[in-house]
Amino acid sequence: MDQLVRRINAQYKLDLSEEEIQQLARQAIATEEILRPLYEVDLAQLRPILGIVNNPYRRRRIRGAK
Amino acid sequence: MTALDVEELTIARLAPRIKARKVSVRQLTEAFLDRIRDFNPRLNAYQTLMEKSAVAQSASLDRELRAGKVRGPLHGIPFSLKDNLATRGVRTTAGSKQLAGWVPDFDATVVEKLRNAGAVILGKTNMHEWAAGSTTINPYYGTTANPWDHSRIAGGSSGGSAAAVAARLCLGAIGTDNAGSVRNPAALCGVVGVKPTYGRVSRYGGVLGTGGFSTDHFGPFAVTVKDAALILGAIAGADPKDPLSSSEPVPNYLKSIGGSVKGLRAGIIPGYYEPLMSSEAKKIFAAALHQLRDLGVKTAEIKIPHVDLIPAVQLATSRVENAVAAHEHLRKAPRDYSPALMYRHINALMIPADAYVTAQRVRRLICEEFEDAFAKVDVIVAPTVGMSAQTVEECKAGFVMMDGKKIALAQDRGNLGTLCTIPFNVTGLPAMSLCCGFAANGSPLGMQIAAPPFEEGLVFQVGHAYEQAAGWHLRRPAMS
Repeated sequence: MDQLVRRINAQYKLDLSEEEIQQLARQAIATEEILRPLYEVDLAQLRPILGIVNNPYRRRRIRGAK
Repeated sequence: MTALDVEELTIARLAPRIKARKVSVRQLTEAFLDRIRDFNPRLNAYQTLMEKSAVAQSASLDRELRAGKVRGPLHGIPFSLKDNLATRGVRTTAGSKQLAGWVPDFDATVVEKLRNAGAVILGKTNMHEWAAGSTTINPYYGTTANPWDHSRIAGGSSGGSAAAVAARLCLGAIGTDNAGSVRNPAALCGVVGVKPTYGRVSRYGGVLGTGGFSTDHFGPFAVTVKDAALILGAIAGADPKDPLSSSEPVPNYLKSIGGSVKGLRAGIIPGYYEPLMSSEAKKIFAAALHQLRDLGVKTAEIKIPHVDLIPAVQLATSRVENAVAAHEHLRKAPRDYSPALMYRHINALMIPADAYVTAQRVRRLICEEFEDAFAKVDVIVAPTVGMSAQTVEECKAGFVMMDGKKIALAQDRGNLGTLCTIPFNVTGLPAMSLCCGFAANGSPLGMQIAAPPFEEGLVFQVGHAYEQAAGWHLRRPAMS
């Protein structure tokens, strides 16, 4: 993860200290852990949202549609 | 008009008196401005006062009354605006260092609608830096104190708005709610706060980067449920300047006030909130449910199978959407963010695209699960916060004592301050917080009532019935 932090540091010219880089790398690993369960949900039959809609409930799911 | 009179006022009570010219708008405005001068130095609820324009506006509204013109129930009512709502000619900082000198040349739609409705804008209220937290401990503009106990936080991110209403430094306020930023401070300050359905209120003129594109909502604070209904009626509706605003017609919310709730079904989601609730908050929430049952509401447990993924969906969505909006500032002057917020944006930049997309798909699944639940119940009832307001010192330390245990304010399952509120940001469903009791330390707690999309009327109906039966809204913080 710290390589990714270093890349963003260079890209955005953030001038992060080594301590900050290590701290951000640890935070990124913690975030990855929080997000991991999202990938475990069976979404095979669920269409992704293709855009932000102002009333998703009006566009009722088309689950299982081919 | 005495200070005591101001404390007794509500919009619904005041509107007929203004219409009958028993109270002048100028007199009312001056009374509130005096009160702000007296109490704001201790509370820091207002960041910018608009005294001159408020007095001029009040004189103009009085002239209209003399000519027989009444704009509606908000004619002459003193209001405040969260400082992330663009206000023409008035500094709008979003609680940030970057926008410290920004004076917009336009009004946010919600501000324009309030002005058209005759509201008198007294000033801009303090908020958490870029609305990115729930304490309103702001490194640039100071901490907003809770009117019930000045050593405690007012909540956030719209902490100044909630504190101003609770202390009667205005009778209505507009805040923004990306993760609970209206409902959380409303609960901690003992007032009513509404997060309407996504798209119900135009977000045009909200400062970019103070809420996710798809999770942020604008909504009112008020002293009572009826007042909140009056305000929402004035600010809701389609806006050509906001393509994500809804064209759904705006009903007369007052028609919902006073309706019987006997036989209505209220759903409770078991297991989600409890791990981060104090035993005291659990007892108070249980008592509120009991009160609802006494009113004839039938309560039932409902299942939202993927409810535990809500914190992950909220994180992957709002944090990433906010970081996108922060690009320009991050590139220009990243150290103008507080360190915590700069780190948060960097963290968001490292969230992969597939996590964002997957979160949106899971989000749809969760929306469907709520929709299925609403086939069985009319409303969902939930706590707004898991405990009463923390002290400022506890927040600065990042820990709080709950039932003898040291609890971190930032949790894997979500921020302690927003865990209860984010389900309705992820789903876009309307939800209102109102006072449901007081902790032993004298601080208020809140209960949320949520409903199917665009059913704010139902939220007001149940909320008003509970409010009138419970009577918590009659308590006021000591302001001497």
